[in-house]
Amino acid sequence: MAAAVRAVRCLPTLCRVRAGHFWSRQLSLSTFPTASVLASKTTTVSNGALSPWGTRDDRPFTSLSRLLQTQCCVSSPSSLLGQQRRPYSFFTKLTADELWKGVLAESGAGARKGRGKRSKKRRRKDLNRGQIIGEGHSGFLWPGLNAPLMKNGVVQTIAQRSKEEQEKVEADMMQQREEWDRKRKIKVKRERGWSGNTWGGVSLGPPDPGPNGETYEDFDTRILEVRNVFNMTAREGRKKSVRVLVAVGNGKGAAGFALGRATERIDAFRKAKNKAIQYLRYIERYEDHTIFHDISLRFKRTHIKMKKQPRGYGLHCHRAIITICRLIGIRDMYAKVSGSVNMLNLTRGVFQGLSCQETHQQLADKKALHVVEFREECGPLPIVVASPRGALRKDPEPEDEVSDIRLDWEDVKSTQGMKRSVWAGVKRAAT
Amino acid sequence: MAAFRTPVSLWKFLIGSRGLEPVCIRTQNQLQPDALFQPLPLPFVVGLPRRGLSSDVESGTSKIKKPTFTDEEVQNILIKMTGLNLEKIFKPAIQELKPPTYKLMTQAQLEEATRKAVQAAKVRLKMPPVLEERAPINDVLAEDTILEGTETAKYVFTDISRSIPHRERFIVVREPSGTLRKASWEERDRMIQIYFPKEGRRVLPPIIFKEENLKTMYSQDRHADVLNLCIAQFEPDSPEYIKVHHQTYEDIDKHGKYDLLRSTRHFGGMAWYFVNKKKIDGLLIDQIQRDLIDDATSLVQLYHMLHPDGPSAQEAREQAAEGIHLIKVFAKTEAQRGAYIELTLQTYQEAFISHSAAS
Repeated sequence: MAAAVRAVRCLPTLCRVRAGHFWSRQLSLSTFPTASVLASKTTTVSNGALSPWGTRDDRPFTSLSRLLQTQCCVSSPSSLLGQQRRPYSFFTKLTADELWKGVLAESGAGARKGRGKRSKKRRRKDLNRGQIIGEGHSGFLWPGLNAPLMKNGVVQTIAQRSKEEQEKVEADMMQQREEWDRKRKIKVKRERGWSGNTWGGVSLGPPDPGPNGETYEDFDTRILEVRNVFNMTAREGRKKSVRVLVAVGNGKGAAGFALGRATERIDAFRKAKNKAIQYLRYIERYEDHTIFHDISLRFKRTHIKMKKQPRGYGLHCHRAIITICRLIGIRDMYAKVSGSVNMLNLTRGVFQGLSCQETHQQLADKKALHVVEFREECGPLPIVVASPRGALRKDPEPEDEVSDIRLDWEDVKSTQGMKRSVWAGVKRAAT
Repeated sequence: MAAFRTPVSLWKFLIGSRGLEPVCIRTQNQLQPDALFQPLPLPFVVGLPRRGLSSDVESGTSKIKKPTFTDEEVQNILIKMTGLNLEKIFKPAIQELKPPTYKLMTQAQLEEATRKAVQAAKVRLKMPPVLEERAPINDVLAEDTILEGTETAKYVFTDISRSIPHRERFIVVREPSGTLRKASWEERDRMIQIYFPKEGRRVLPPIIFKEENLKTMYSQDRHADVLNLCIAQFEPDSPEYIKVHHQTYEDIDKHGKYDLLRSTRHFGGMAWYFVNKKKIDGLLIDQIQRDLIDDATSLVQLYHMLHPDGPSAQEAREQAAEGIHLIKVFAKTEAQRGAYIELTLQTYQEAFISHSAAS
C-alpha cells in the first residue's frame, strides 16, 4: 500500500472525476491541496483510524484551499501535470517487483542472443527508500510511528505539523532523493590497463580466501586476456562464453596463471583468480631483480628470448611479460617475442622458461667448479657467486678459441650495427 | 734511461743560462726556491734514478739526510699501512652498467685471477707525489714603457709546440704598461689547460673547492672523492693542492675517519703528513682498535726515522724496543694522548689473550 501511495505521487495519473468538485488537468493551485487531501485520506484509510471518504470532505478542503504553496516537483516527469496523489490506481494493484519486471523488460526477445543495446539498459530504483510509515503530505504526527510515543511518561496525542515545518520536511526529503539519484548516476572510472578499453593489465585484487581459512592478501592478480568465445548449441544457436587468462603473483618469486570460463565476465574473473592460486610456482631470481642467465626457447609456435640485465635497466619486454615479471618480482630484463603471440602460449612459454633456469649453485654443483662473476664496473675483481658443495675438480673447463654456441642472427645483426629501427633508443616511462 | 736524461739536460740549460753552481745538484731532492725551471721529477716516476744520482754526489751526508716521501723504505712502510682491500679498491664505479659475465674456474684459475686483480690494485694504489709548495715566479724579461697606453688588455703568449714538456714551456705576459714578464704559476696552468686540455681538469677551479662546499663533502664522508678531484685539477706543488690536502687530513684527524682513506692511494700521503706534523696519536689509536698492530709499529718506526732526535726515538734505541713495546715507549714519551694509547693497547692485549685462550 505504501508503494502505491508513492506511485501516486511520482507518476502521472488520470484524474478521476469526483462528485461535487471541479477537477482539471491543467496546473492549478487548487489541485495541490486536493491531491494532498487525497493522500492524507489515503493514509487515513490505510491506517484505518478515521471515518470514510464522504463526511470528511468539506473541512480539510476549505482550510487547505487557502494554501497557496506549491509542491516543488523538480525531478518527477509529471511536473507539467502537477503532483497527483491517487490512493488507488493501477500501480497500487501490483507489487513493486511485478511493476519493475514490466518496466525493465529483461526477458524479452530483444535481450536474447545479444541483441540488446548497451545504452538502453534501465536500472531498477527502490522507490520506498527513505519512506517512514506515518509521514504524509498533511504532516500528521502519529505517536509511535513518526513521533515519540511517550514524553515524560505521558502518552502523546495525535498532532499536526505547521505548514512551514511540513514544507521544510518535504523539501528535505526531495533534496535527499536528488542526492541519491546523483550518486547513482556517477560513472565509476574503471582502472586503465594496457590501454583504454582493454581488460589486459587490469588488477583484480587478491584471490578469495580458501576453504581452510588461508588468505592470499599479499598476492595480486592481473588479467592477461579477455576473450568472448562462442559455442553452437542445439536450442539457442550461438552461445557466448567469456574466457579469461589471469596471472597471480606476490612479487617475491611465487606466481601462477590460469584460465577461467563463464557466461558472465565477472564470474569468469572470479573463477580464473581462484583457479590460478591453486597452480603456483616458485621462480628463482638472481639477487631478487633479474634472471640467472639468458634464456631462449620455443613454446609451440612462440619464440621467446629473455636476456639478463643489470640493476636499473627496467623491463624492456612485451606488455604481458612485463605484467608477469612484475607479479614474480623480476625488475630488470629484456625479452623479445617472435613468431606467434598467442597469449596463452606466451604465458606458458614464459613460465616454462623461467622455471627451467639453472641457478649458479646448481651450475657449480653440476660442473664441480667455482662460478666466478666479472663486472665491468668492478674492474678485474673476481667475485665468487657459487662454489660446488661436493668436491672441486682440478681440471679446468675446456675452452675453444672459437666458442661453439649457436649464434642468433638477430643478436649478430644488432652487434654488427646492421639493424635499422626507429624504435631503438626511444625513452619510455620507467618500469 | 729516458727519465734520467731530462734532468741532466735541464741542469745544462740552467747552468748555461744562469751560471749556477752545482749547488742545485746537491739539493736537487729539496727544491731550491730561486731556481726557475726547477728540475722537478715527472709525477709518477719513482725516485730511484735520482736517488742513485744523489748518492753518487753526496757520499758522506747520507746519515744526516732526512728521509723523503720517495724513499724505498718509507714507501714500503706506507704501502704496507695502506692495506689491500680488494672490495674497496674495486668498488662499483658509477658508470653505465652492463650485465656481468660468468666463468667457471678451478681453484688455480681463481687464484690466478685474484693475483691479476691484486696487480691491478697495486697500480691503482700508486701514491701521488708529495712536494713542497712552488715558489712564485716574479721574473720580468723586458720593460718597454714605449708601449704604455697602446693596449688595454694583457696579452699572454704561449709556446704551443707539442714536443716540449709543460714545465719548460715559455709562457710570457705583456702587460698594458709595457712590461714583458714570465707568466705566474696560475696563469701557466690555465694556459696549458686551454691549449692542451687534460681530462678531468677544468680551466677555472670548480666551486667544489670552496670552503662551504668542502665542508659539505666532509660531512658526507667523501674525503677520497675530494682528494681525487684535487689531484685531477691542481698540480702537485701548487698551493691549492697542498691546502686542500692538508685541510682534508685535518678534518679526518678531527673526526677520526682514518678508515675512509685506507686502501686508497691517499693513505700514504696522509700518514706522511701526520708523521711530519707529529700528530700520529689518532691514527695509532685507530690502528690498535682495528687490531692492526703491525701497522701501528711500522708507523712508530717511520716516526722515529723522521724524528731521530726526539725523546721517543732515543728511548727506543736504548731499550731496543720491538713491536708493542715500541708503541708503549712512544706512548710514554712523546704522545699527546699517551694515556689513551696505553689504555687501548691494554684492551687489545686482554682481548687478544682471551681470544687465544678461547681458541
